Amino acid sequence: MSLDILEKNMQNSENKIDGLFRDKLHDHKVVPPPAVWDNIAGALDGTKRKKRMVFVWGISLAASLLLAFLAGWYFSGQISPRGAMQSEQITPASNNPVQPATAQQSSVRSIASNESEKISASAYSVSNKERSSKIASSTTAGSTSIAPSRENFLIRLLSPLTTSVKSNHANDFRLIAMNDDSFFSEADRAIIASNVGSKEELVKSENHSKWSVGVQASPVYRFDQASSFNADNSDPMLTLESAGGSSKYITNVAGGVKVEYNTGSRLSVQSGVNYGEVAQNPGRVGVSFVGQDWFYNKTGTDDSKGLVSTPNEGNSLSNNMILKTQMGLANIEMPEGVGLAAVNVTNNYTSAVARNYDMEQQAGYLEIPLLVRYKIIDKRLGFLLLGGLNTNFLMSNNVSLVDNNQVIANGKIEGLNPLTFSSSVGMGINYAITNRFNLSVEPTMKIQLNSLNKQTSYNSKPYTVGIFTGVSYQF
Amino acid sequence: MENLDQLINDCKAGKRTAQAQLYELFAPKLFGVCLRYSRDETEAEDTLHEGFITIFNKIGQFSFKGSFEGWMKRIVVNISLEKCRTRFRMTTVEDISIYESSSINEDVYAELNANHLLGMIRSLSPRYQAVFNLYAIDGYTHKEIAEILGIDEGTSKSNLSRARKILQDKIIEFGYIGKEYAE
Repeated sequence: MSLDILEKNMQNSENKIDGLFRDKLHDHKVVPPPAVWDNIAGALDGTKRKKRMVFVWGISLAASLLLAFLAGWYFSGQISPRGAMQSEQITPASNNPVQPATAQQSSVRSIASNESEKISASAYSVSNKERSSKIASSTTAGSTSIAPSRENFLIRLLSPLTTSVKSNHANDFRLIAMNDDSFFSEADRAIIASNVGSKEELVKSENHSKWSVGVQASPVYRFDQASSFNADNSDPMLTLESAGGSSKYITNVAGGVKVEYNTGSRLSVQSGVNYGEVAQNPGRVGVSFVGQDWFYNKTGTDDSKGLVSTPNEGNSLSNNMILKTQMGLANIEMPEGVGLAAVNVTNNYTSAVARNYDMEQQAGYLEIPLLVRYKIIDKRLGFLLLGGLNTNFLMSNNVSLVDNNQVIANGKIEGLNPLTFSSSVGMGINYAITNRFNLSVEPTMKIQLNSLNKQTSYNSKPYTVGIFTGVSYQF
Repeated sequence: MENLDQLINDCKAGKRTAQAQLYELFAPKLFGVCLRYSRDETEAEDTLHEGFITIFNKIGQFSFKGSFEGWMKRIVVNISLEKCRTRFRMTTVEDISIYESSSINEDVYAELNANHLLGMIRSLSPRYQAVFNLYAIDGYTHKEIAEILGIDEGTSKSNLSRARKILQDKIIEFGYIGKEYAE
C-alpha cells in the first residue's frame, strides 16, 4: 500500500467507519421471535382487563359482603344489634376511593425522589441535577393540578400505595421529558408520569402469581348468637344447662388447606378445605345406682335439688341416658354397671354416693369456604379484608362422659343437621417472606346461618372467632 | 401514508388487530435498533417488549406531527439507553488494541455483514456503544447525547473517537483473520 493511500485512509477513516456501520445497520431488520408478540399481547390484555375490573371491584366486594350478611339475617330470621356492626365492616370497602388519592401523591413523590437518587448516583453535573429536579418538581405540580378525570382516577386506583417505581421506568419518563421539551406539554408530562405508574402496575401484574396454596390453623372461640334452647326445669328430662348457662365451650383448633386465585392484583377468590369442631362441655352429670338400676341427676350428690330422672321408669329397662343440651338431645348409651366399682351401692338412691362425670359434646365439620379477599394494602406487609360463605358438612358427632380424662360412655347428639352454612368476615395481615412464601394472620368471625340442629326446639347458631395463622406458597 | 394514519388511529382506539398489524410492520426494524443497543438477544427482546407496551400506552399522545417511526424509535432508544445506563458504572477502559496504527483494507468493508458489525458494536463498553450508536448511526448530535446520557459534550466527543478507534482496530483485525481464513 502506497503512502498516499494510507494517508487518505487515515483522513477518511472516521467518516468511513461511521458510514460503514450506518449503511449496514441503520435499516437492519431482524424479525423478533414470535414469543415477543405473545407476551406483549398478554400484557395488553392484562391492562385492559384491569381497567375494566376497577369499575366493578369496589362494587362487587361490597355486594358480596352485603349478600353474605343479608343471607345471615334472612336465615337467622331476626335483626340483632349486630347488624349495625356488620354494616361497619363493609364501609372500608366503600371508603376505598379516598385512599388512593394520597397513594398517587406518594407514588409521584417516589418517582421524583427515585430520579434525583439516580441522578446523583450517576454523577451528573450540577446544572443537570438542578434541571432534572426542576422537571421532577414541575411534574408533581402538574399531576396534582390536573383535574382528576375518570381515567386519571382509575390510574390512581391502580397505583400501588407506595411501591417504588422501577428506576428504568422513572428514567424512561425523564429521558422523554428532557428530550422532547417542545413535543410534550406540561399536561402531557403529567399524564406520562401517571402512565409510568400504570405501566409499573402492568409489569407487576405480568409477574404476578395467579395461584397460591397454603395451610392455616387457629384456636377457635365459640359464642352463641341466638339460641332458643328451652331450659325448663319442670321438664322431666334432665336439662344440663340452666338459663344462666353454666356450660362452657371448649376452645379447640380448626385448620386446613386453602387455595387462592388472584383475579387481579388486589382481588382474589379463596377456597379450600378446613376441619373444625363445635365442642362444649354442657355440665356435670351425677350417676347413682340403686340395685341394678342407675339414675342420674344434675349435681350428683345433692339429689334434693337436682332433677332425678329415671328413664326406665314405667318402661322396660333402658341403658340410654338422655339429656337435654343446647346442641340437642344427648343420647348416651350407658354400659352395663358403669361406675359400680366406684360407688357404694345401696337400695336407696338418695343415700347412694354418685359419681360425677363431665359431659363433653363434639361435632366435627368439614368446611368448604368460598371467600373473596381484597387487598387494601398490597405491599410486602399487607392488609386485607375477606368475606364470604362456608358450606359445612357434618363429619363426626359424639357425646361422652369423662371421668379423670377417661371416657366412661359414648353417645350422639340427636338431630344434628348434616349440612349447614355459615358466613365469614375478617381481616388479615400478611407478610411476604420471599416472593413466593407468605405468612398471614387473619382474625375471622364465622356466623352460623342455619341451626346446627334440625329439631326446631334446638335453635343453635353459634358464632366463632378464630385467629387463623398460616403460611402460603404462590405460583 | 393514509393507511398508516388509519392504523395509528385504530391503535389509539385499542383495537387488537391494529396493534398486531403495527407490530408486524415495525417490529423487525425496531428489533434491529434494540439489537444494536443491547448486550445480547435476550436483552433486545426485553427492550422490544417494553418498547411496544410503551408505544401502545402512549400512542394516544402521538399527534401526527413528525415521523411516527421516529417517535417509536425514540421510545425504543430511550428504553435501550436506560438498560445501558445501569451498566455504565461497571465500565472498564477498553484494552488498547495491538493494531493501533494500521489502516483498513477497502476489501474488508465488503466482506463485513450486519452481524459482524453488530458483534463489534456489542463488544464496546456500554458507554462507547451508546455514544457510537446515537451519533454515528442514529444521527444524534453531541449536544443531545450529552443531555441524554448526562455527560458533557467533550466527553461525548472523546467517547466517540475512542469508539471509532476500537471499531477500526476490530475491522482491521477482522481483515487479518479474514485473510487467514481465505488462504
